Amino acid sequence: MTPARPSFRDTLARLEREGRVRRLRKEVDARHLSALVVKSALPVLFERVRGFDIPVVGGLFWNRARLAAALGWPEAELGTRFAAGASAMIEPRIVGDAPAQEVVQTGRDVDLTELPLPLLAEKDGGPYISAGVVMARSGERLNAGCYRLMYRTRDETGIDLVTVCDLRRLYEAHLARQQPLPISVSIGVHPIEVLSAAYKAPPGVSEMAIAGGLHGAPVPLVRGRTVDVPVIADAEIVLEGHLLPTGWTEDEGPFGEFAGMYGDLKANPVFKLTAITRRRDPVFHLLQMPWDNAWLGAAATEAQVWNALKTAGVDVVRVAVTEGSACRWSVIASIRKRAGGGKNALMAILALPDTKHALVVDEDVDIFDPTQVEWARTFRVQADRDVIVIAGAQGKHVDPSVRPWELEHGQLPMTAKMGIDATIPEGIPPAFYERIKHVWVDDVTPDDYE
Amino acid sequence: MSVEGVAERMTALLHEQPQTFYELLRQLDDVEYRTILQSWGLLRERKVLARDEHGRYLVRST
Repeated sequence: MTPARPSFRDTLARLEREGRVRRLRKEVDARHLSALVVKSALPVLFERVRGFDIPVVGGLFWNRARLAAALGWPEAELGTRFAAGASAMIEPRIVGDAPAQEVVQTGRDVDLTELPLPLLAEKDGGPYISAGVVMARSGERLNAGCYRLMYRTRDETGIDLVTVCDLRRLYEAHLARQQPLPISVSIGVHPIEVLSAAYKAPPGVSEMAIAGGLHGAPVPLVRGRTVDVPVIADAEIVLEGHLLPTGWTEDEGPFGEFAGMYGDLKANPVFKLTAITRRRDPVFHLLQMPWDNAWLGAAATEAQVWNALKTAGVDVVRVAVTEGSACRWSVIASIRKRAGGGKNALMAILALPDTKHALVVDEDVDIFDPTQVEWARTFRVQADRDVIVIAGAQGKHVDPSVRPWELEHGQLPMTAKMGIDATIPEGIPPAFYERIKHVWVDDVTPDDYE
Repeated sequence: MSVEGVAERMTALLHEQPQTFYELLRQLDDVEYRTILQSWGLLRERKVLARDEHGRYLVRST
């Protein structure tokens, strides 16, 4: 018997038992959801949203601690857990029981305005659904991804398909034949499934099989009611429909994106709904930008860095992305260093396409403590010896410092990468870095004197 | 306030000057959020909305 994995609401219940969710019982205006999520020290569960009979939860992945708690993983092991799970994939399983289809609305009953669709940021082009796992069939393979959906009408949203991705390729193929592409959008699913969908899986690999590997149990799927695409069987809410074969023609955005800045107004395809299915008492998941989204990529990035360092023969201890770099562009690693190992580690990390800045420290430095990291960078670095700069590397349009507006159409941006070797320099005896230790610090605690 | 009435108010506000969705919302504090969604959907269905170069909404010139 294959073990069942917890659902979204099982996870919420666990987090609440652990005191990791703040429940707001008073009625709130949906206008204020975004502000209240970002101002709360914990993820927020809004019991009552005026005009809607659906509670909302937001801020579940806002920082490393919240993401780790939602996943049920130790904070320091995001990368290693992801790597282990992703290498032990379990294919999803089609099931008969589908709480996600307890209520089925089709035709004129499809009405997105029944959902508390939040406006997240001041310049956003409208309210957005940001936590949907979008699925489409690619032959026998099931493709899953996270795509933002901008509210347009009761049965239409925009969808951002500007960036090259599997769904875009599928859409282009259908567009060439002037056929609509059927998709499903599962909202309110286990964090592992959101994280896996956000991961750009290698060709031929199913994101939901990775999710199964991370769970240690298959993701339960059920066939959509109006489209031949599966949905996550115990999702809170599901949207079904088609990407219309109209191409990149309709306005979408701007949108406050994962890097903390606004993306431009874009021309994008339209998602036309054929059904909304849901539980009888669904919870709407609000994925708050930027950090809820940025942290979703952290585990995969840390796994990628870990693997790159291992491949380079580096004895790696810990790896961490930094939040300010959208959990992607800046990486810190601690290593057990051999002579020259700091520079080797930097080259391995900076060879990855997304990494722009890398910092390497010795294993005595806690990379999750910014003060310790800064201490190492201050006292173990001579900039003329320990900072390497690589010009003309592959960059990203989303980084304004690459001046993307100066590029010709179709021209890819380039960036300069920087690595800082903050390990103890060769030739300096480690004894010079002996830290002070306070007297009797292992023997007494203030708790004994309350 | 009716969905149609709010749609008319939105149209009038967008006639005055281009606005973001948020700026529009700030001027419709007295309207229930769901009605905002419904009225906005109505304007979309009627294809009366356009954008300026900053992504702000305006009413399409006929």
